[in-house]
Amino acid sequence: MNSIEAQLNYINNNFNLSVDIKMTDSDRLILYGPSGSGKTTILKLLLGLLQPNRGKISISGQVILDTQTETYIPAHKRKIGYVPQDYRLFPHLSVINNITYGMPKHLTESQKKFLNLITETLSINDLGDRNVNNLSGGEMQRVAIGRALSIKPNLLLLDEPSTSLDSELRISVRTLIKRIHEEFKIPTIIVTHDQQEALALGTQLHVLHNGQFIESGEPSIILGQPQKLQTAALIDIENIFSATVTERDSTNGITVCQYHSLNVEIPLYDTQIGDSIQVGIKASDIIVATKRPTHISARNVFEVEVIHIDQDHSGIMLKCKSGLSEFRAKITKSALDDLDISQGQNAYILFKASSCFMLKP
Amino acid sequence: MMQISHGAQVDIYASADLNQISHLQRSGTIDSDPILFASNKLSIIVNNRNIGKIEKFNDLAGDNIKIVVAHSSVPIGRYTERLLTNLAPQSITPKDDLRKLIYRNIVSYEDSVKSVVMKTVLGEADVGVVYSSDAQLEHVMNHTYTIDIPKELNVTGTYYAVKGQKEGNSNLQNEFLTFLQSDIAKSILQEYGFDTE
Amino acid sequence: MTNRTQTAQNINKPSHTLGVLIICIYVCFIGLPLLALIIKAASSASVFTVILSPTTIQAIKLSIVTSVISVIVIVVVGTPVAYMISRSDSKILKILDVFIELPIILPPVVAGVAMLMAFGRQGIIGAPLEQLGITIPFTTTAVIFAQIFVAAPFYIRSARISFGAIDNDLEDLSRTLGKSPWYTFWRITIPLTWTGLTTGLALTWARSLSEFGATLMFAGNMIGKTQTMPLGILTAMETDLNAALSLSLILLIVSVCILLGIHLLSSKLSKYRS
Repeated sequence: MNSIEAQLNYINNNFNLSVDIKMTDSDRLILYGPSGSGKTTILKLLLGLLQPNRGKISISGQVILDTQTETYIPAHKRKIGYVPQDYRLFPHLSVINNITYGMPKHLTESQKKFLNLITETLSINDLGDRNVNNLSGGEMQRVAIGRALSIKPNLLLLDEPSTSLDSELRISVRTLIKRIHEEFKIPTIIVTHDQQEALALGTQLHVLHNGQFIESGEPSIILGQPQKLQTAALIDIENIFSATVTERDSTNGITVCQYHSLNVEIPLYDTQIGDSIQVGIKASDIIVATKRPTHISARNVFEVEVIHIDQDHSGIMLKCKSGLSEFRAKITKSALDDLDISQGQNAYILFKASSCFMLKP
Repeated sequence: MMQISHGAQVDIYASADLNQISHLQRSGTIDSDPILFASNKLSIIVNNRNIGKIEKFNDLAGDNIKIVVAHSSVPIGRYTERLLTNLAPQSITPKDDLRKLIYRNIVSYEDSVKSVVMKTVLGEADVGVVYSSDAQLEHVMNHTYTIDIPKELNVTGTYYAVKGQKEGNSNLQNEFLTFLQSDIAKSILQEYGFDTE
Repeated sequence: MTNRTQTAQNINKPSHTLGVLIICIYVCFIGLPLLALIIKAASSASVFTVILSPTTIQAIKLSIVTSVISVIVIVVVGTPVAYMISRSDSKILKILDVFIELPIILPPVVAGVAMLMAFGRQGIIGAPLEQLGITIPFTTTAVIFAQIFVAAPFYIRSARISFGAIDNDLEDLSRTLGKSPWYTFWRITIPLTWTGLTTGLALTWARSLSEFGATLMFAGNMIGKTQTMPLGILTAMETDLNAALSLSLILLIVSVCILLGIHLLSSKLSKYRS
């Protein structure tokens, strides 16, 4: 049973990093955050390519770094597998020589078996003597992963595995990573800013902002209904608004708050009447209707004017307004066509109280 | 000489090397005869750090002495060689072979007498074989002293001047050659350590 | 071919012709003197006498031995220096970088004088060495010193640029795979910079072989001890043009052989990559 523990403090110019990581070999830990938040720095600190100002790293009980006792194991002795975002295959070596680079020159039978297992799992058996410069993006990545696995690492680090791939490959890579994790049972840290990827792969998630973990926990919860305002901003929650608590209904588990002229029902929180709070709700949780809905369970139904219609690769975003209150609602293209909604039209938006969540700064 | 034989146009060519002038005459580049206008004896200069150690000519055969001379591709190099050749009758036994011992002490054959002077003045070499006119220069005398060369060994360098092949200046060329042999010229040359007849 | 392709080709044509013309002019400019040298030297009767004379053989031997030693020293010392400068952000090392390249612009004679001032018998280092009984001027060691002084910058510069061009990250990655920095240097850094390093090697060797001004000034001219081929050529030049031509021809042939050898070595190891 492998466990990883790392406390890292690192200061560079104005950048201040301070994080605490704990994981086991059943974990796929997601480091989620925008670029510049320090994700790659954390990887480099773990790998030993950067030195922390203060910190301690232990893998499976073995201390590989401790600034207090001045214990320091150099990078080439740490047995941490690393797959960087740009793969970094050695251009002057063939595929097989890249993969076996970290292995001894002459392989024992069991080592050969292990190598076979890697190439089979990654489906790179047939690439063998090829020149790495002629491989496709997906092939390069699998070779890079194979190379990292060949050293039997105690920890595997993947930096933005899906970012440079097209959507088809993205999905297959996620399956691949899960399969590797199950097969080789190596604790895995994945750095990403892709929510889908985090949701699909992660067992644990840390949101990284300016060198600090601002929120940690289960990916689906954090990415679904975060607790911190900053997290909400980072994961692009489309609706965040200020409201004042007007009513608390413990029996039904509801808080009523006032958003300009609208009374919005949200779940019960530890608040008092008169408190000013931040409320968030995802655009995809807001339903749109062209006729006032009746006989429905949703607590929040509001009449709005559609002031803008935007289309992007993920669907249609409707910007709606009721008085001073604004909402963004996400629907599919076909829904737009069926409802025949146009700009300037009146419509209705509805959402459950439980779709809303309170955000703390 | 190389440049002239390949066509450089000069009014007067002055050289310490009669061979070169003869060569030009033979090839037809020059068609008049050279005049001798100055001569120069050889001098042996010794760097001041050797005072007490090198006093007379025979001391040159001693141990750990660095002698610098010019290469035989320049006239003074040939004169130096001649000087050393003149030594031959002096040697008695191989052990006392002055010439051999002196040759053993030569560390470099420089491409010009100026280099010989410089290295001796700097002290890189202990001894240098140069022209008397060089030995009498002020900065040379500041760092070196001369030792006598036995009269029977000394060699004299000679300087010739001849009209070049450049056309049209015949009068000026003749005037200059006459001037070289005048008293004024001679006194200037003597001031700089050259001998004149 | 469509009309558009034809026009595209026509647009390229004038500059293509111009390019070829310029190449021809340049090649002739370089080639003609070399060709003339070869012809005049080969046709002179004394070619073989000169080539086989003991003076010539000693000069060739001396040139080759000293240049080989110089080049070995330059590579052994220069490679780590170039590597450290290329990898460092330190301002001091950046200044050192400029300083190291100084000998390139220094006239060789000046370099020779400078070395006398440092290593000569009255020199800053030379004087104390003299006390210990060690003298450098007028020795073969001085020849090597002079060659190293003037030729080293060519290798170091080329090496520094090559090291700077390859990805630091590849070296980092090699370490994560369990390979020590030393192993990484030999298996990753060197193979990827091989072409630049061998080019630097060729340049520095050529400069060593052709070194003249600093050698004459610092080491002097003594057959068998300090008379390298270039010095031999100059001394022959004053008296015997034919001898000078023959020596020049020999030096040319030796240089070409060395350059070809390095070229072969360079491409042979490029093949080793995947």
